[in-house]
Amino acid sequence: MASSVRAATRLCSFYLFTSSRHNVSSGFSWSCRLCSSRPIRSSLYEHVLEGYSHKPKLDMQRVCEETDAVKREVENRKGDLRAADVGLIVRHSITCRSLKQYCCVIRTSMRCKKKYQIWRRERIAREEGRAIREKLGQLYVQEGELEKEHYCRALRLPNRSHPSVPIGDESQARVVELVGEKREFDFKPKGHLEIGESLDIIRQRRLAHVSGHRSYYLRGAGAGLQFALQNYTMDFLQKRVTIFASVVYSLDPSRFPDLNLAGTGEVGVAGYFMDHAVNFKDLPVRTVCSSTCYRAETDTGREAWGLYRVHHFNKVEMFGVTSNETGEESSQLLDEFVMLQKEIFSSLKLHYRVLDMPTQELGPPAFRKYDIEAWMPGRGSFGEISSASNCTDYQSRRLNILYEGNDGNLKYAHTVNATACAVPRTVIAILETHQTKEGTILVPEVLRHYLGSEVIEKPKYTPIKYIGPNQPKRHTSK
Amino acid sequence: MQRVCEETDAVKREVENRKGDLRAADVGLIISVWKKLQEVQKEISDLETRKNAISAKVRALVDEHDKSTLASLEEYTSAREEGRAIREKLGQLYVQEGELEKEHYCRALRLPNRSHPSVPIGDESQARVVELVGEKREFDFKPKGHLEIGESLDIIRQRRLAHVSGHRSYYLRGAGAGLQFALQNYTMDFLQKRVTIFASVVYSLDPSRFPDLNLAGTGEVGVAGYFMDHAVNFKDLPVRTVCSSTCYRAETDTGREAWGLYRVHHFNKVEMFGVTSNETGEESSQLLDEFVMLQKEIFSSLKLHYRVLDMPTQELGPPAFRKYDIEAWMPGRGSFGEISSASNCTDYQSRRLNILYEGNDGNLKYAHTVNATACAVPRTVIAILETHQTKEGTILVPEVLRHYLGSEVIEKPKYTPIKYIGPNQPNGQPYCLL
Repeated sequence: MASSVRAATRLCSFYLFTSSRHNVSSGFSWSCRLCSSRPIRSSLYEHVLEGYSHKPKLDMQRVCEETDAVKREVENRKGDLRAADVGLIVRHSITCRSLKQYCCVIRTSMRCKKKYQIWRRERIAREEGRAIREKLGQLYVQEGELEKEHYCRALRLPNRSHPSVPIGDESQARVVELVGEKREFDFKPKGHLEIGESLDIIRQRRLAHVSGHRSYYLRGAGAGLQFALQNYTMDFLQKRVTIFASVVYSLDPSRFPDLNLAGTGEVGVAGYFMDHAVNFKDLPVRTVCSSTCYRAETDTGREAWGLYRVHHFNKVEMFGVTSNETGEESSQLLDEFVMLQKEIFSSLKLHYRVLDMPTQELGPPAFRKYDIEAWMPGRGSFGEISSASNCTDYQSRRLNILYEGNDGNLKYAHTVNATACAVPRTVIAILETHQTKEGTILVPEVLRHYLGSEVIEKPKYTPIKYIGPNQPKRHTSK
Repeated sequence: MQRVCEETDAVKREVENRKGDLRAADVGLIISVWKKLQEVQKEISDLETRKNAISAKVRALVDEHDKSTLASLEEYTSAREEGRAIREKLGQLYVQEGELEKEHYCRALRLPNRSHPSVPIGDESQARVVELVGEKREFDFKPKGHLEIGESLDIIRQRRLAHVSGHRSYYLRGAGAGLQFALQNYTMDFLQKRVTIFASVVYSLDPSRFPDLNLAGTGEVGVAGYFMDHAVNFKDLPVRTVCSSTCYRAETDTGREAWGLYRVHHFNKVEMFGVTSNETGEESSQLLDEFVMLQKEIFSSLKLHYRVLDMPTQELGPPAFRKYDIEAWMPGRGSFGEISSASNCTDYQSRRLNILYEGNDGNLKYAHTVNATACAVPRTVIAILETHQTKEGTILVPEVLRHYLGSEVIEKPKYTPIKYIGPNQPNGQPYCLL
């Protein structure tokens, strides 16, 4: 035992005992100066510190053993971590572990010293005990800080990438499949906003003072389309999906700074499974969630008008939880979700392509991602209408989503998420694809029952007239 | 303002009867500020006239005489002097007018609407029961509360969420979510045949303007905003719109009802909003009655026992001229709970938002607005769960919702619910993770 104390001392002395009495943490300052000067904050870690969840168990073993492979993967992604950060994380991880071992050894030695107290002179023993406790106290503080710093960095490591994922930026996306074909127009196809305004089903003008920039109204058949799409999608999935979830977020106004509105239903559904274990026989779990999503869309210059890039929209989302026995379950569920997406969009008679997204387009959690882009004749380009990601154990490690095997053992589940229907983008695709020369819309057959009509026609009533102070120049208001 | 100045005592009485932050003394203050504003505006008007007269005179003098003689003409110099003095005075008066007008508006805009003469005076205990529909169900077992029912059926979840989504958050899953969509769809379908315009409102949040960020408490805000600064054609009146949206409320009364769905920060609601003309003055009352009829039809079809209340003055928000609340009997809570509200706001909102209508003669007049809840999802869910519960803990789905929900009964789940494995185990023992 005494020898292990000496061994541990040798291992850690360089880090810990540059000065015995003063600032013990100075030994670590050399590594700390390489970090960014910004304090790194992780709300997940703070949540753990408050005792709400267990610590996320990251796969640090692989990161330390296959460091070069991990560095390559990180470089291929577009996140803010670079290969140098991986090195830093590895060093931190090793230091954390050593520090923990050292603390453990000291505690053990302290217990042994207590036994000694019976034999050796009491005063000396008590002195040594006090010194050890003081050192332990400092070490615990150090351990806490180091661990926090380690976690806050390591949690940001992106997921691994599937070997088939193309490397590079969005131009490297590989077209997996092309469904349908571009419609031939015998007139110049209009954009969705022009169509929508002439039919009085979308309104975007003279709203900003009420509801902010990029806000919009869907009225009449526009609203009908939204509900028709949501209902159709939900009905479509209901037969294939075992759990049916609706997520509602609560905002606590008094904690304003930490207030976040979810960007996708995935957040809420994942939160539902957080700190919970699913029974093996219920896997894979397939859920559907219809919710309102909020996005900052800080790229304010682009696409300021129209429904393509908005702050707030309704979306029907699929979220799945699978086991990880063979390692293929999540890939299979991803393929299944993409199949469902294709069925939905094909039934809406849209022309679209399925893309295997390259590494730089994968968010940190994604192991593999397929995007579906629909042809939008008015915009003259393909536009993303849905996305499907396999996140393997990235989310489950952080949120403690596990499953209980038949043997009672708990293992990390795999999670998969996919958009079933993002309302504005799908509305754009429908309006621009099914427009007629007269400016009406031929409603896709599957939606007619929900919408209650086969055609969206120009309104027969008199639209309301703007009478405010900002009249266009050619009118004079009363 | 004309009425406020002429019938001041009546207005003071009305203000006192309301529960707003304005008192009778404020009415006096508003009138005095208004009168001062009128005076200043009159003075400005007079001075402007005089200024124009002087300008005309100066112009005439300039035309008659040539430049060299002008400077010595006493008439000319005194006219120029006077003009200068007037312009200076006008400058000060405009500033004063601006300040007075701002002061006037900021106070006067807060004056509540008038109250219908039949509205009972006093606090909520004075609400007058207009109608009682149905009767309390007789239970041969002790009726459970909605949260207990919902948790045992695994259709409502409220525990172990606060760290994810804040206090008073909740999940509706399985048939709970089904109920939400069923109610929304049923209500929308029900109204679609009777409603001419069908609106969905989406709010945009501008993150860079955070301090001014507001999430709407009701769909009414958005729909009223749609009509703001616009005139409706007379032949299209009355306009009846329906809006399904997510509503956010601060519900700062944090102590009360911390659990359950009765008081939450965030819920889905189907709202009716109407715009009427103001030719006879009765149009908005008629539309209010029509909306209440529709609400009653919906709730009766859900086989709920409820009462319709004529709300007293202290329960009327500032915009409301008259308000009817519908309260459903909730056996689990053992009391009536508000499930919907209908308000006639006459010209309160339209004056502030410039919602007008164009008569056949082309004249613009302020419209009247009416709004009413068709279906507030959580409250209606509570009423349904607690009213239609069985001894076994299942729910008999109201007939009109069966088609939307896809089943006649909400039963206990057959699958294994997920198991909590986090650190805060009920028995205090840490759960053994890998």
